Amino acid sequence: MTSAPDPAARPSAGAHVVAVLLGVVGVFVRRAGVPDLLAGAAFTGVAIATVVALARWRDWTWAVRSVGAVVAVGALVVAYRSGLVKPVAAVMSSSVVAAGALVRWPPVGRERAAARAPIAVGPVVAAAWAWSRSPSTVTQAIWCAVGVVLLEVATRWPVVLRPVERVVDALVLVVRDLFVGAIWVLSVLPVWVASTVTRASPFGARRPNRSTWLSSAPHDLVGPRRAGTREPAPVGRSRLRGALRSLIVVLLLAPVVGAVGWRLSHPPRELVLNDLPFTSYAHEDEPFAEDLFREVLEANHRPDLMLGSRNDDVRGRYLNVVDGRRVSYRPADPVLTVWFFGGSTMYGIGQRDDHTIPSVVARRAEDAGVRIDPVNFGVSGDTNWVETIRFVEALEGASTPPDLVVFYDGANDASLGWQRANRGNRLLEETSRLPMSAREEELFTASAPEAPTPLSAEDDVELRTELAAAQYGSGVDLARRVAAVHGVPVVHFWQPMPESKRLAPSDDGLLERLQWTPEMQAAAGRIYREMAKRSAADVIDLSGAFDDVDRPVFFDQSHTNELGARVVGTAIFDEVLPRLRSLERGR
Amino acid sequence: VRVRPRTRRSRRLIGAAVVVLTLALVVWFTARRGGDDETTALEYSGFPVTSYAHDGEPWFPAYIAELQRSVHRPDLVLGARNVDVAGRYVNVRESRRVSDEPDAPVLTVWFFGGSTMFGVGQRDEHTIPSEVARLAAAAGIPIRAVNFGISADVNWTETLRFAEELRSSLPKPDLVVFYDGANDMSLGWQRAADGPSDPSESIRMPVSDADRADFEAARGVVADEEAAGGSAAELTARQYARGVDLARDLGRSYGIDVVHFWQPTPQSKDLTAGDDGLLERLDLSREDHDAQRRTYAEAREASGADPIDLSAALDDVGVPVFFDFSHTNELGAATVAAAMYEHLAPRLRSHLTG
Repeated sequence: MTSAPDPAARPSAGAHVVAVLLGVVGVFVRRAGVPDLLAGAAFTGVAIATVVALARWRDWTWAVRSVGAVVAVGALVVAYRSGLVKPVAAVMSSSVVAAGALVRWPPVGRERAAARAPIAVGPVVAAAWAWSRSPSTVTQAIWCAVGVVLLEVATRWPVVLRPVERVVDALVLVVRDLFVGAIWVLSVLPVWVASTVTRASPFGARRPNRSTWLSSAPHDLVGPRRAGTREPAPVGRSRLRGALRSLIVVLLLAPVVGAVGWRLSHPPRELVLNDLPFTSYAHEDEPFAEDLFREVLEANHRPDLMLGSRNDDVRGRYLNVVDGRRVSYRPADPVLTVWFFGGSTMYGIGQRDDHTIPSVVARRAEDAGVRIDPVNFGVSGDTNWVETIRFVEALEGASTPPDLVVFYDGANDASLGWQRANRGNRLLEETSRLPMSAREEELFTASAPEAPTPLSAEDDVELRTELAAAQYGSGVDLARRVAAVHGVPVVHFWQPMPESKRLAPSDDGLLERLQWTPEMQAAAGRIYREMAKRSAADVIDLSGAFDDVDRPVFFDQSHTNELGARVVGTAIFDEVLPRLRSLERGR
Repeated sequence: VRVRPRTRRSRRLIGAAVVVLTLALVVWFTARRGGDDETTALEYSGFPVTSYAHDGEPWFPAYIAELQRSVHRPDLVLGARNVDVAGRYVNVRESRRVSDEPDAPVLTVWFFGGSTMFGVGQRDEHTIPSEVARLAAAAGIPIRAVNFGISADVNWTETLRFAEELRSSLPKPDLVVFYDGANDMSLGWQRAADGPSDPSESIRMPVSDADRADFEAARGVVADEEAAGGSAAELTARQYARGVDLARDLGRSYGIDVVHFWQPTPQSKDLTAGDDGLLERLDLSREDHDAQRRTYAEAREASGADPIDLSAALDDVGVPVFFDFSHTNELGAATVAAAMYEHLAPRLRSHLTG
């Protein structure tokens, strides 16, 4: 740009590159999320190493290039740990192209190109944004191309893009200052603090005293000492000592800074489950509840094309999953094995490992002199049909079949019936499951044979009752038939729900929490009970199990606290005890 | 005097821009044309539609075009369900491929399988169920053949369809036929290629790019086709065994006769000199063919399910029958149906007399 003001007054090309790269990486990291503290620490370690490296070499051109490389490596470390190598590789490659446009591919001259550098920032940011919205290599490539073309246009015909350039210039300054400032706080500041405390320069020089450090600090931060500075050049062992100190500082501080960075970028999530915030309601006597909920929210599931999801193994203080199954209380030397199937209520959202429904049943059985090994197959989102597929999958592959199988359903089955009626998936003879992701929501809608037509309120109630009942009936029938062939007894329970409970004064808080009126609760309860009846499955109805409990048990539309699980577990135990005794005698 | 060089430079720049723009437009139009050609060129499962294996089938290009217009609707558990279509060669009613049906059928046979059972490569009246129905009718056993075949189904998904259909309002069948192998083995190879996979888990074929992404995400390992093999036979065998066991359990529970067949594929074929064209079309070396043949046989044997093995059913056909990795022309379907009918005839007669 021939008419450009003094280049020294403008941000350097290197600063632009740093800003662009950090901006792009920042967008990505924000989208992907740093998977854990270790990855965050690794990323921050790379950033700190970058600063140290920058300070050690005065060749800024080389340093600027190394910034791109080091930040790219750091981002790829995060990407690898996130299992998202492809998206990051695409974003980083576009950054490289942009960097090429900014610095390494000057159409006229290096200085001119540097002056035009901000022009390409917009497309690069747009590329990152477009990627975060919808990953597409084509989109990415197009935006990169736009950046290059704009640069070319700006260089050849400066008048055309001068107004845009001024705006972008200002934006870049802000973005650069923000990102570089953040990096400075996270990377340079800790190193500086450490060196102040240890009175040793992290950049290799041993400082004789504080005043000398202050006087030479700017030089240290931007590169090795130049000839003519007041400080003597480090040689031999002192240089080695300085390098070792740098290494120790980085190793010690990286995890701490990583943890801080992680916390800053991932503020504690508000505890929300089923769209309801965590409060002390129904957890008055459960000081562990908040930590338990955090563990619940951090527990992972992996997608499964047929079943929706499978539990990933988890190790926590209150929640543990081993081999895909929630850990349960297990007495010594169990003599019978009982498989438990259900959704999140069987999995035990709201209870610690030793207080889930299977654990309660195992404890009660042990008290009654029957030692059972409870195996909890519960998975969030499971409907009875999906549980039944899990059951037959486990049974057909099992070397030893269980002695008894318990199914505990209702909440998710009712929800699926309602969703199918809403989306037009209304064929009673078909089975389905709850969608587990935004993509599956789309598929679920597309799975309807035809677009849903509006129904009267009565017809709507009738349809969702029929849909839930028909699918539940099919699942119960399939489980019973297959189990019968294998000689395994199966018991099905219809679970209690907030709408199926006889209201007590202690439920006022629940109604308020769910924003229900007593009339709404009563109407929903009638529909829910009718589903079980209409299925003709003749299951054991526990829908009124909490009728006589005068303390809060439900904290959302289906999940209970440990008191709730205790009541349900006891009710299930009472039902299965005769069978357990009979099975034990048969041993 | 100073203006002229600038003007000249500007003209040069504008000229260059025009040239670049023209070239870009030419490239764009060419690419677009090429893309159009690609989309209009007939191909199926990645193979161009040629006369190979369709010498006596002049209707085949029109048939494939019709087949490609038929659609499926997604299903969260099973992957997909057939959507009804009415065509010249392909008809689907109530999600089931239309089959040849004799007057007054006395027995009902349900057929489950993937695209080879659905009848990709055959017109309605020449699919395997249609051919079996005709053979049975000729032998004095008129059967109603109900074709539940659907592309990409593996035995496990077919068995779940079977379980679902048993609860439907359809009259219960007298006999149920499962015809598997190609998709099951393909899934086994995909799972093995994607890294460690738990043989105790049953999954279905991914039927879309998004499915494929979930399929890979479930394992956290990017697919590596080169790593295929290894435990593919075990993965295939154990899932197939669970499906067969479940179907047999259901059959016992409902009192329905269930028969499982292990289908022929190009990999299972005993190669002759006449198969060079097939290998070339599949880009498969004889060594790879032999290795895959061993894995395919190993999967069947390791399953312990003891299905009726039809994997050599097309060995002695002297002309090309496969046109891709699993689908056959109508001669292939007729040959498989004849081999299948040999095993079904005694059972059908028994049902008829019983």
